[in-house]
Amino acid sequence: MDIIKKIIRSAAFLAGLAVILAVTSVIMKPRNAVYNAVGVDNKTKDLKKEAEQSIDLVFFGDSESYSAFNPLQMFKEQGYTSYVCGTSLQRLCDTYALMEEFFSKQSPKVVVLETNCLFRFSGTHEDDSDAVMNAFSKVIPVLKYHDRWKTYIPLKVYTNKDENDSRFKGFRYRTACEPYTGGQWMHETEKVARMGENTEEYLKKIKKYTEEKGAALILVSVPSPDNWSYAKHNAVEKIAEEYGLEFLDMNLMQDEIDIDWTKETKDGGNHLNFAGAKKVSSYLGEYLSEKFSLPDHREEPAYDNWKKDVENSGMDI
Amino acid sequence: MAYHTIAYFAVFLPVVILLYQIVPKKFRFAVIIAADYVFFWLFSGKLIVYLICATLLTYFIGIWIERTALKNDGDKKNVTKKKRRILAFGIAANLLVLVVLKYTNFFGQSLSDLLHLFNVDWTFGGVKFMVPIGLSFYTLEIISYITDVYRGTLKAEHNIAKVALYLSFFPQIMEGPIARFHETADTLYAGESVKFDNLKFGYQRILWGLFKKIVIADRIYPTVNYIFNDYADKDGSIILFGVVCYVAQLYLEFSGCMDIVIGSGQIFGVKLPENFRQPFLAKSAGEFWRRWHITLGTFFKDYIFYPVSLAGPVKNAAKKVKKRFGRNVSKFVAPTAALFCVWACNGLWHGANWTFIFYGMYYFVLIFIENITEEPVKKLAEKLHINRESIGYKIFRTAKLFIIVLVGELFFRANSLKDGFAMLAGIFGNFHISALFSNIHRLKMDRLDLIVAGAGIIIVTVVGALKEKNIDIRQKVSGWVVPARWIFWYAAIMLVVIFGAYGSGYTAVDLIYAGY
Repeated sequence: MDIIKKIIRSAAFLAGLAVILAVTSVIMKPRNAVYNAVGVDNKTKDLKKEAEQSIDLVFFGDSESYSAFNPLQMFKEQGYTSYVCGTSLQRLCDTYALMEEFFSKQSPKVVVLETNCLFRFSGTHEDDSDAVMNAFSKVIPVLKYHDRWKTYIPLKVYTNKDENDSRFKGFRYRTACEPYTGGQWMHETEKVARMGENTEEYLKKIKKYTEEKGAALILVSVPSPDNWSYAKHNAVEKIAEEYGLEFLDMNLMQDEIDIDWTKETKDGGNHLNFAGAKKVSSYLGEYLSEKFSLPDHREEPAYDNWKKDVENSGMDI
Repeated sequence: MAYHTIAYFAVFLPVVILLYQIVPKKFRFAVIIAADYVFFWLFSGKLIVYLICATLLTYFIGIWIERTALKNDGDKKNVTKKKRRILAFGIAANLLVLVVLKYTNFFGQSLSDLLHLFNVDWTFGGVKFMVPIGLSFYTLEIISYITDVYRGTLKAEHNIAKVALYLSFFPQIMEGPIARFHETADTLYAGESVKFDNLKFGYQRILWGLFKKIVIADRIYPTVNYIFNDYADKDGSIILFGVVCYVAQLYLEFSGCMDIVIGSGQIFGVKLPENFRQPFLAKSAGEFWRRWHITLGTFFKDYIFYPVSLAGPVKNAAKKVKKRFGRNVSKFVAPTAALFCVWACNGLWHGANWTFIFYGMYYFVLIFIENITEEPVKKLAEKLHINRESIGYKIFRTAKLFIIVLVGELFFRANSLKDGFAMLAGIFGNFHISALFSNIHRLKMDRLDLIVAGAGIIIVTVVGALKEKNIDIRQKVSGWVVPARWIFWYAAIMLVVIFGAYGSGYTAVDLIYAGY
C-alpha cells in the first residue's frame, strides 16, 4: 500500500513537472524558427531604436560582418544609411528571421549577406555532439530557449553584452590587435568547399524574400585568412552564378584593400579590427554607393542624428 | 556523457537504475559492472584494456600478498620482506602506467631544457599517448587496496567482481572521490533494492550539484578563460577578478560534480566519502586542505605522510638533528620530510606541469610555516592580549586564508609558471579598481550573468554556513507539507533549467578534475 502511494505521488510530481515544463516552453519559444534566440532578440530590440523607414542598406552575417562593416563611416563618406544585423555565429535561419523583423520597419534597397555563414549548418537545432540534449530540446523547447529569460528583463536593467552595438548601428568597435603571420591564404584551386546543410534552401528563401520586398541581394566575403579559402570562394561563386546573384570576394582583392595583417586584425586573421574595418568599409561603401546609386542624406535635416552619432562615436573615421 | 549532461542524469542513470532493479538480486552487481564498463568505453573506448588489466593485477597482487602472509614458516622477517616486495611490485607496475602515460612528455621536455642549459644539443620530440579516464583516481584506489592488504587491515578479496566494482564504479571513475575498498565494493556486490528515499535524496543531491556546476561555474568559465589567456594588457584589478572567478569556478564545479557523484552513489545505497566540507571556513591553510579534496588529502596522509614519517632514514635523520640542535628542532624533521613528500606528490598528481609542482611546494612552505609558528603565535597572542576568537581576529584569519588560496589557485590555473608570476606582478603593480568597474560587463559575462553568478554564490555560501552548523536544508524541506515541498523542488528544478549556462550561446565545459 505504502509503495503504491509512493508511486502515485511520484507520478503526480512528475506530471506536475511536465506541465510546468510545457508552460515555460510555450513562454520561452520564440515567434520565429531561430537558432540563436537571444542574439536575434537583442538585435530585434536594437533595430527598434532606429527611426522607421530610415535605412538604405542592411548587412547580415556572423561576427565577420559586424567586425568589418562600419555604417557610420559609410554615412560619413558616402551619405547613405546602413545597419549591421550580424549576430555571433549567425545561421541562415536567424538571418531570415532577422530579415523579416528588419523589413517590418524598414525598406532598404540593398541587402548584403556576408558569406562566412553559408558554411555553417543553417537549421534551428543544435548540430554539436550533444545529440541527447537535441532530442530532449525538441520535446521540451524550454531547454533550448531557456536563455531568453534575459530578454524578458526590462531594458533599463539589462544592457546588451556589447554596449556599442546599437550606438554604432551594429558595428563592433574593437581596436585590439593580434597579428596574422600566415602569409597568402587564397591558393587557387579547382576544389569546391561544401556548404552548410540547408544553406541552399535558406538562400532560396532569402532571395525570394528580398525580391518580394524589391531589394537587391549581394553576397560579400570580407578578408579573413582564418575563415576563408579558395575552395569556399569557388563554392559561393558557383551558387551565386546559379541564383543570379552578385558576389564580391574581398579576399581576392588584397591589392585594392591592402590589409596590414600585422596590425589590422583583432585575433590573428579571424576578424578585422577597427583599422581593418576602416579599409573594408571605405572600399565597400564606395562600391555599393556607385553600384546601387544609394542616396546621400548628409545635407538632410532628418538625418542630423546620424551626423551626431558620427561626431559622438569617438571613432577615427 | 559527463555527469552534468542530460545524457547522464536523465538517460544513462535512470536506465541503469531500472535494469538494476528488475534484475534478480544476485545478478545486480553484474548490471553495475556492465554500466561501469559501458560508461568507461564511451569516454575511452579501447583504453578500457588498461582498466581491465589494472583490475586483474590488483586482484592477483592482493591474493599473492595474502598467500605469502599465510605461508608463515616461522621467519616473520622474511615473510614481511617478501610481502613488501610484492607490494612494491604492485605499486610500481601501476605507477609506471600512470607515469608513462601522463608524465613522459613533461619529464622528457624538462630533461631537454636542462641539457640545453649545459649546451647539450638534444631535443625531446614528444610522444602522444591516449590516457584513459580516471587513471589518476583508480591508480590511487589500487595503491590503497594493496597497501591495506599488505598492512593486514584488509583481507584480500577473492571475488574478482568486487575488485572490479571497487575500481570502476561509474559515478566516481572520472573525478573520485578516492574511496576505500570497504566503502563501495561490498554494498555494490550485495545488490540491495533501490530504496525510494535513496532515489529521492540521491536525485535531490544531483540537482544541487547541477545548480553549482551549470548555473554558476559554467557561467563564470568564459570570464576565467578570457582573463587567464589574455592578461597581458589588463589591469591588476581585472586579473584579480579573474582569479577570484577561477576559485569560485573550481570549487563550485568540483564540489558540484561531487554532489552529482555522491547522489548517484546514494541511489544504489553506496555512501561515498565526502570530498568537501566548507573549505573557505577553515582557519588555516592546513585546515583548508582537510576540508578541500578531502579524500586525496586522507590518501596522502595514510599512504605517504605516515609511512615517510616512520621510515628508517627519516627517523635516523631526526636523531642526528636531535643530537645537534635539541628536541625543539628535531620534532619537526619527520613531519617536515613527510609533508614535503605529500606536497610534491600532490602537485605532480594534478598534472605534468611546473605550475602544479609550484602549487604543491607553495602549500608545503605555507603549512610548514604554520606548523613551526603555531606555538609562538599562540604565545604572542596571549602576551598581547589578542582574543583569537574575536570577530576582528576571525576576519583577519579569513582574509589571510583567502589571499593564500587566491595566490595558490592563480598558479594552479596559470598557463605557465612565467604567466603566473606575471599575473601576480600585474595584481600588485598595476591595480586600479576603477578599471574593473568600468570594464566588468566586457569580461564575457553580461550584467545579468553577473547577477545570476553572484546570487548563486550567495545561495551556496548560505547553505554551506548552515551545513557548518549542522542544519541540512534537504532534511528540513523533507519535513514540510507536500504542497510546500513540491513547490520548493519545482522551483529548484526550474532554477537550473532556466538559469543554467548550457545549450546554444554557451560553450560546453568539460569537468576540470576529469583532466587530472
